[in-house]
Amino acid sequence: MQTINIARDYTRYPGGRYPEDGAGNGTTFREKFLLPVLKQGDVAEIVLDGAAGYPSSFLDEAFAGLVRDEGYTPEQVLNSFRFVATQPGFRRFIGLVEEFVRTAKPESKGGA
Amino acid sequence: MDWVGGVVPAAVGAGSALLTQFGERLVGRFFERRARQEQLRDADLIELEKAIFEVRDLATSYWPFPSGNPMLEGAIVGRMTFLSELAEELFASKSELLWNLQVAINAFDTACTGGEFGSPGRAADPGRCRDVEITAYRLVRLAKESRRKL
Repeated sequence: MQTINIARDYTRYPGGRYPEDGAGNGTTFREKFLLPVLKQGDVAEIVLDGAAGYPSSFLDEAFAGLVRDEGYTPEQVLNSFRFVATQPGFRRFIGLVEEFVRTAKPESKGGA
Repeated sequence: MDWVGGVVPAAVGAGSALLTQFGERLVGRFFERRARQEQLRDADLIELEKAIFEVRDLATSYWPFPSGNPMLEGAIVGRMTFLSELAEELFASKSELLWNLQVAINAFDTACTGGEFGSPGRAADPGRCRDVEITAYRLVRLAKESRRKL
């Protein structure tokens, strides 16, 4: 199982949805890190610790975007990623991501 | 051996007096510690409420206007992270209370930092201020209610 540490491998300052929103956007993270895992039928551990917080728009775009824009089912997405959040205050992000993924509908933009 | 008859009761008396004193001190210390813990919890609750309303103020000054504002966005996400840490610290001993509070924090977070948050080209979304206010007050109310259950 591969490990994707968002702060180490992508950015300490995640934010924004689209590439034009800046370097830490959710779309680029999804396409560069999450999509390959699903395409390979792999399972990855996502480490949330270490970043300076997560705006909901980033989390929604990165994870729920896999359902909305890439055609995967919420079950496929949730079964492909294990979340690690040990930093104080970060555990709740796991529930937030799961909620975004579960409520996402294919091609319905801007869930959160 | 008359002295034995005098010393033994005296020793027993002194011993029980000492024990009583020790017991009183122990009980006193327990209540002192408990009161101090309650004071710290109350102080944390006040700080949590303050942080929630600060985020509310920032978010309601962000959404009515178009385009991004990196300074406001940073302040909102940073303070949201802080209040989340504070809530986890305050309710760490009661997982059920913490879980309910995290759900309410997530609703508040989604209202404040969802939508097109962080997009420099976003349109004004003043309607979102209602969600921010509603979820902020719900969160404060739940935090106060949960504090009473600690």
